[in-house]
Amino acid sequence: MLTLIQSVLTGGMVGGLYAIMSVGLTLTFGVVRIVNFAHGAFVMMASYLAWLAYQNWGMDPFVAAIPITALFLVIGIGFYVGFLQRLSKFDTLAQVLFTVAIAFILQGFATGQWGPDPQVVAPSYSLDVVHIGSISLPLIRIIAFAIGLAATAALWLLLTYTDFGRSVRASVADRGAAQMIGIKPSRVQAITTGIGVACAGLAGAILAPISSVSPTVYTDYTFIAFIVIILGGLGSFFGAFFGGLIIGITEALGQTYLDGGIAHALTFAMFIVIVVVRPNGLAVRRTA
Amino acid sequence: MQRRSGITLGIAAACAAAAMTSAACAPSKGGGGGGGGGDSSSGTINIGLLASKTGAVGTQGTLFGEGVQLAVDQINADGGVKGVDGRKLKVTAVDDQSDPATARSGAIQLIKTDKVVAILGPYGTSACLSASAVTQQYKTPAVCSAASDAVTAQKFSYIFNMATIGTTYATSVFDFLNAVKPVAAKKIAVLYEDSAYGTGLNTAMKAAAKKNAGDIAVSLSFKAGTSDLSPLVTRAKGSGALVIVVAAFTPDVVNTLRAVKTTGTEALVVSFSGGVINPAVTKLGSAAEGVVGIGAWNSAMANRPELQPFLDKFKAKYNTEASADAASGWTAAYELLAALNEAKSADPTAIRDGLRKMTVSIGINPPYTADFDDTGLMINQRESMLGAQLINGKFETVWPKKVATASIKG
Repeated sequence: MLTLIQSVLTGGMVGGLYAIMSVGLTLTFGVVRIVNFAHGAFVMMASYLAWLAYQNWGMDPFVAAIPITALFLVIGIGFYVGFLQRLSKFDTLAQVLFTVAIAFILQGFATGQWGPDPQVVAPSYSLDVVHIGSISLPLIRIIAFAIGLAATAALWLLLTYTDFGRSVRASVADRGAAQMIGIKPSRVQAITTGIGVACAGLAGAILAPISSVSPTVYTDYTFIAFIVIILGGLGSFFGAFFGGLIIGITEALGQTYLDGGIAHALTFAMFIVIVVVRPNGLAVRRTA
Repeated sequence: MQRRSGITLGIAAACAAAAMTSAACAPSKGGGGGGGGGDSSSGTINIGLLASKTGAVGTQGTLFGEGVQLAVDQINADGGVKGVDGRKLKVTAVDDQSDPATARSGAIQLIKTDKVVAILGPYGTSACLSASAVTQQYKTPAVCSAASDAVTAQKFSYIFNMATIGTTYATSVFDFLNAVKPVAAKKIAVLYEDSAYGTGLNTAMKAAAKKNAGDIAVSLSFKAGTSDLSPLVTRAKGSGALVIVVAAFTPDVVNTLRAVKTTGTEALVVSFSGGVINPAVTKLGSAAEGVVGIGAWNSAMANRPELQPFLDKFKAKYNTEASADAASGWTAAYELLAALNEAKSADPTAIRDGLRKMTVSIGINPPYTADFDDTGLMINQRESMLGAQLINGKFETVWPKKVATASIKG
């Protein structure tokens, strides 16, 4: 029983990171209607910035997460204005290929700039452990989870209680109707893309001290984020959040009770079952 | 109109994406001068370098390639291939991106388009297995570096493997444990990533345990790149293992070491060669302290005078310390030189026969030979193995005792 609880808690913390990463992706898709395959590459670049801040100035990665998130907000808005806005007029294939190309460019840049070697961010408390009875949890994961949770909650408050949030939700629900009541779609889309990329920035910065930083990690992040948002329902905020938790916990349970190959397959098996049973995702209501 | 623009943009984007993936595939010229792929017209002997610059083993492949280039520069400066009219070597390099399919197409490109007479590489088991079928089909010898028994087990006559293979690594784990901590050989947990490298090593560990009266308490696989390995480490800890053997590349070794510390696991962690004897591991600080690397190379070898010329030249050219992989590339180039001198010809099949017959004394480790046996596997592997432990942030040789620079801790 203890093993089960430990496994669920450990997986939940990893899932929390998946959640913040995926929330950004699903928000962008919900409003802009472009599937951004470069999302994981933004996560990777943010991890590199956190590593650079740690390496050059000894900056704590969780402190570095603040300016990195702000920077990625600006980058995201620029990404929309420079690329996605034009891209939204084209068909899905062009959009997909374009964002994949951006991901390749960022990966190529990272490899050329910092090499293929994995880089490590190891602050002094990186090995500290918090004991709750017989359960042990790494402090660094608790902090990362708490930051991810706080950011997700802040984002939810923004979407729920502000005019901008209402504009976003209206745009997600019915873009045409939103435009008819005076919501400027390009403004909403630019800021939403900024927030989406900022989520990638935050996730990358807080992942830096947990996982090693390398140019190839982005493919895994992109893959996980896509599974999460499809599981939760494309465009669904809560779907992405709970989808992240479910994937994280499933991975941990698989590693705890099954062999590696089967454990990995378990995530996909669960994903297929949910997609078959609820094709619109866990958090999206069926519509007629 | 808009749709056409979309398609145009799509094609442009696809080209950009393809360019990013295949740019590395395009040959980059290096080494001695001369143009053209053919060897006779230009007076050079065109050899291929097929190694990863990117992907999972990009670091190791890059170092392998740098070792090759350093040796080729030296060979050319020393007057070229004396057995073949003093002709210079010219390197055509292809990045296989640590991807088996790219390694296969890269081998075809080098042989058919660039007309190389031999290939050095690929680096890595999956890429080597994939390219070996091509080199066999086109009867072009390749000297690859793959830590797996599977490469030469295929009994292909044109493939040579100069890396320490899984069986040697696994046997050496028991040689090491029986020498420094015999009781630990009876309680081992193996954590291995699920590619050909990890699964091959796991199989070899099981076989070696049987032969050496050892015991594998638990054997657990994981997907390479898994960010949280603590559930697996907890299972290893629960098995009562005194040693955790990690068969994985550096990012996974880093994540395992973190998980070992945060789960309070006391077991000695053992991994292999460049996967663990790596700057990323030493930068982990206390999380990595005490980890053991089994391989034919470690940084403590910088103290060995017989290696100084190679180490100094590598440092001077690349401004970084040489590694096992750099030494492998360097050795591979000298093996090819010996084969060319033996063959007295730049014909691929003659070079293949030369590789089988040649005798060289240029290995990186005692007994300093890097010849191949009848299957194409480098000999004297077991005798070359060392155990290095991270002590106070520095890898020290702790086994075998006759070359040890420190005593094992823990």
